[in-house]
Amino acid sequence: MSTTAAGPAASDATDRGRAVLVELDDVVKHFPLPRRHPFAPREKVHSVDGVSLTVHAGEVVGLVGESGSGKSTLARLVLRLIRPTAGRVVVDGDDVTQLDDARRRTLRRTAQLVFQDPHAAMDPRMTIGESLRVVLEQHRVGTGAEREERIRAALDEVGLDEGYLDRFPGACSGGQLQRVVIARALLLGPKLLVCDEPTSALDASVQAKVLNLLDELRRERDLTMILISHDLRVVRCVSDRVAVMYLGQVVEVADREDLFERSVHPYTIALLAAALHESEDVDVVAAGEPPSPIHPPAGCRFSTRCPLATERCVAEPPPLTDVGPGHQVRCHRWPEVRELLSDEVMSA
Amino acid sequence: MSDELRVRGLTVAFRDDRPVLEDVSLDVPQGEVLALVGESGSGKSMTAMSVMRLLPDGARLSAEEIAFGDDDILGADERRMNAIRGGRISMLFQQPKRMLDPTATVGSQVAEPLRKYLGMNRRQAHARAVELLADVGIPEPERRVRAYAHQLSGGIAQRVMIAIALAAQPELLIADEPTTALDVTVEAQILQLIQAKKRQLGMSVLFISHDLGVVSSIADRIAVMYAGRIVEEGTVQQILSAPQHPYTQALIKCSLLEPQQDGRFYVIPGDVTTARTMTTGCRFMPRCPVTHALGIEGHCVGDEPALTGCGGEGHRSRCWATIERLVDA
Repeated sequence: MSTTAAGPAASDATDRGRAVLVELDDVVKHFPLPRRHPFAPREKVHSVDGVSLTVHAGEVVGLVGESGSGKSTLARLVLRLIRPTAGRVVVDGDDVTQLDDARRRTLRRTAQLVFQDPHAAMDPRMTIGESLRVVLEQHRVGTGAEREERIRAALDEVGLDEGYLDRFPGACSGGQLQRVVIARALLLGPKLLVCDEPTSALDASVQAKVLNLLDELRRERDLTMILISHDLRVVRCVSDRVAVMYLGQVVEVADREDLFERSVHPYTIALLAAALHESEDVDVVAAGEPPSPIHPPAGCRFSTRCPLATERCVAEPPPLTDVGPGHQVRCHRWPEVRELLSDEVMSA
Repeated sequence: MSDELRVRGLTVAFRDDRPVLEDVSLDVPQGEVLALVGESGSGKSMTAMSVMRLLPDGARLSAEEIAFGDDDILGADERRMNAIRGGRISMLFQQPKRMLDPTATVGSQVAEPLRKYLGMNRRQAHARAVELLADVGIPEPERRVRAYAHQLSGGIAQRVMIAIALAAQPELLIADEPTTALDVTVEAQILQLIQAKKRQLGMSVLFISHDLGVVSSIADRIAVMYAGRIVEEGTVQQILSAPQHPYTQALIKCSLLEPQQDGRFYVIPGDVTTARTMTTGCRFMPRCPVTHALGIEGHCVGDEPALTGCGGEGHRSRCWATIERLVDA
């Protein structure tokens, strides 16, 4: 699959043959809003609207999209931090939507989350040692001595020494603390790591360090990862497959190479042009801002910003269509998109 | 010539610590965009706040000169400074929604500088506010003037901030990471807007960012900061195509996020130098690959190099290796 420019996470399509670890089946999550007055209709935010996605064991799936596209909500659904409005979420063979509170605990051992802002993710009044110990105590793992051993091993794995155990989060830099957060996520030996913008709060030189670490862990522990990011460069480096979300829907999924070289959805193309600072005139590809997820457009959700939108796009929502092996797109005009946009964008 | 921002020998320190900003000098000629680039803690925002004389309590500022055109910012009294801030010099910040007053309408916030600096009455200011909102590309400005900050998206809120900043037609805009909190497609639109306004009003821009990609699309010149010092400055071409300072080279390399031969991303070894860990020599020395390769560690530890011309016109770097031409091209 991957030919040139193989990133650290370069792997071939062998993942396809592996077991399915996460399966999302037509998942919907709506957040109801308060009524404007007692008799007003109840409106809701369409955060995730019919997403189906499969993640194989050992695979890294990148999830990209702008704010409000529903990518963080999707992460929360996978970890059962919230319940879906409809649809099924299966993690490691268990339908997590059916889990009672006691069995959610077991899900924590399978799946863990790494947050964006490490300073917000750690209790500022607990030393790092305490924060890590609490995890093992809550899950009643091992004896006291075994716990200490496990904590030391986890810190060592992320490249930090024991000196950090007595430090408070305030005394650590963002990069150091993000490594602590990753160590904490690894304490219970999860199979799945969901990383929600793990490097967006970090400086360029630190970002590379954390990405290297994630990649190492992924190989050594055979971790499966869902990597959420608004930064396509990050996703390009670390993912095997990439899903692009827009207003609660997946608009394009493909293997990494396919997505970056042969994307066909106008939104993906706009995102690539903007992120890589390739096109001078981005208005050509994505005018304005995403519409409100409270009243998403009736037809194709990108139709209000799409330079290629037709009457059909405005009226009728396009289905997710197979356009190649492992490559799906939600666009009525996909066969002609690259050709139509090429004069305007690709030459720019 | 007259409307040039000149900063000479700017030094800022807190209490008895080593200065967080040391001997910073820069010029922003009229109509030019100077970008200050560096990682967090490098002193870029401190520089901007010094120019506005808005440093936090406890900061000690000293400088040979801070002047904007014929205004001596260093010596101006608070009253004159209030006229300069928002009048001749405006600022844009990173989180537009947090910078807007949540209790006042967008219209009244855009109208405020018009009434204060241009002496308009309420009605004139309101009408002009609608025009200004339309001017920065906000759809339905008549409706938006009545909106509050929480009803705006990040991109629209930043456009409102731009409308406020430009209301009194400033001669210099200081933009401190104005697109960092925005989505990429919106970021591109905001950069275009700033560029268009710069041309239209003929103003200069001091653009602060940690992102070399963003900077490359908007700046004329770049100054790279590390640990409170400008370590390299030059045109966008010079800095991005022929960087001289090892820190600039390393920063560009790790910003690209391109895997190396061994499949890993390039990482600058060590941690960012802070005021506490600073030594007498070059501040980048502990992390510098060049000093080790050339075996000139002793020199680099001993004294700090000066910002010295290196090759192209106006291209200067603060590195012993470039000064002594020890680096092969």
